[in-house]
Amino acid sequence: MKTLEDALEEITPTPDPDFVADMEWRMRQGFPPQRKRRLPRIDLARFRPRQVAAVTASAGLAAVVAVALIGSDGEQPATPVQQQFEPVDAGGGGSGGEDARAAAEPAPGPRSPALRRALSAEATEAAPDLAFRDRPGNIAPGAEVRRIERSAGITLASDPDEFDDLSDAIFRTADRRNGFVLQSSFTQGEEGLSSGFFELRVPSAQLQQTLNELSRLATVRTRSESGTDVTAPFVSLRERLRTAGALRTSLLRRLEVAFTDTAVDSLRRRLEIVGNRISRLREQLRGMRERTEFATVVVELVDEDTGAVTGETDEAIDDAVGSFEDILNFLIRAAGVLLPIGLVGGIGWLAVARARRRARERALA
Amino acid sequence: MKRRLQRSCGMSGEAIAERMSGSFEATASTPSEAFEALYRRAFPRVYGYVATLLRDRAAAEEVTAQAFERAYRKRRSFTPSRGTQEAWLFGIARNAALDELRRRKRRAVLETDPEDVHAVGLDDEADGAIRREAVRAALGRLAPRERELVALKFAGGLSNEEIARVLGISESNAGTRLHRTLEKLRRDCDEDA
Repeated sequence: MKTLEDALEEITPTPDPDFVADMEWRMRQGFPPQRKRRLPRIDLARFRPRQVAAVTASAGLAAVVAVALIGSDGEQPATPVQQQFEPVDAGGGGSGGEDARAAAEPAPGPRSPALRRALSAEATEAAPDLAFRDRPGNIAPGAEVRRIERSAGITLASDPDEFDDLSDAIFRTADRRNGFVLQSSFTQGEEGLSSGFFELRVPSAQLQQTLNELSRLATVRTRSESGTDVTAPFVSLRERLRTAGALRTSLLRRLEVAFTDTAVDSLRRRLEIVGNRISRLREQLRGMRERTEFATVVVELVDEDTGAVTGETDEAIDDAVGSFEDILNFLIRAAGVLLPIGLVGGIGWLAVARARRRARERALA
Repeated sequence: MKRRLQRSCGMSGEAIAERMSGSFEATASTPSEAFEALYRRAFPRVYGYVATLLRDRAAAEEVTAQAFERAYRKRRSFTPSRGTQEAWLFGIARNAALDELRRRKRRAVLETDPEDVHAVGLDDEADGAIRREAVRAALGRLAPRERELVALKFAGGLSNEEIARVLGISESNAGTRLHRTLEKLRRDCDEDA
């Protein structure tokens, strides 16, 4: 008597010989695909509303996070060049609108705070004229002489005991180069002088020689130079001054032939306004001429013991920390985008896999 | 287990030992050779399982070919820690068979008996033939899930552990279900007799 198990094995279907031969051939060929591979079809009708809602909500959340991150990328810290426009001419009349705006632009380059402060003050002083730099194409290409504002900064390291001698040498250098020291100061530390600051004005033509002489006074820690072409605003100022002069002449002529008191008063008021404008333009032109003819040199004195190795090491550490922060920021931003996408993808994949498994199992129900 | 495999597939003792332990790399010099070895020892059983499940010879051939094709493509993704090669292969075959069932909505066809051109005639072995017919009829009355269990065990020649892997259930659960199904089948056969 055969057992049930034996009977079950005996009734097992066996493959047809032709099919066996076909499979043997396919095996030898490495199972070539029988038909074109298709992308897996997702039968949306088989998903439950809750699954669809969960996937949709996750996708929405990921999209919101991604958009927020991209948006925050757009709100980068202020760029080094910030522009501000302020009205500077309250009574300039009709044409005063143009010169009623000014721009403040921090000078590029120097890393020292003191040097930056000095150059920033310089830039603020020049602000009314620098408004022209913001206009595209306003470079006065045909000007015969270029007007360039130059500035430089140099940091000298020395023994604080020699600061007095150095100070004298700096003054002598400025004199020798037909310049002058606009301001100077020293910082007193616990153990005496710790740093010094000098702001020099030297003829622009003498700038390189001055810097070379200053460099020979002590160990140079840092040195920077910058130049800004202000030819266009200079030319513009000169033209406006010429126009204002012509207007004044015209008004004077009209005043000579004015008959009524009202006309005389009106012309006088206008002459007064034009006179003020001419004064202001002359002042600006003079200031600009001085700034282009005289370069600004900021000299800093630092203690050689505290600056030398420590400074470089600090700088290196700062650079390393900065690089690390950059990498970390990038990774955080990337993770902020990739994690939600991965999460949504994972949830979607799980939902699809589960739905497919359930659908398959239903075939046996 | 070994006895059944040797009898149904003509497998040698070494091949059975390989099947019990190995990854594709461990059983042959290249994955392709290892897959060929798996194909040789599992092909008739995969076909038997799929044919029992689908009850359609043509569909069973198509699905079997499809299952081996998929398995061949994914052979490098097989990891021994997740079960034997057979369990992995039967899992692929099961998915393909269930997809086919869903596609063709063959639930009604499942109720019919499969045609078996190689079945032994009644004249050759009368008692055995009657017994087989009774078993076949009782098998036809089983629920599809129960019939699948029987197919995995007797057509596929899988162990309870491998059946559990294929079905995604625990080994003890697989054993219990199989025992109950066989008892039910036995009772049905006895009633027929």
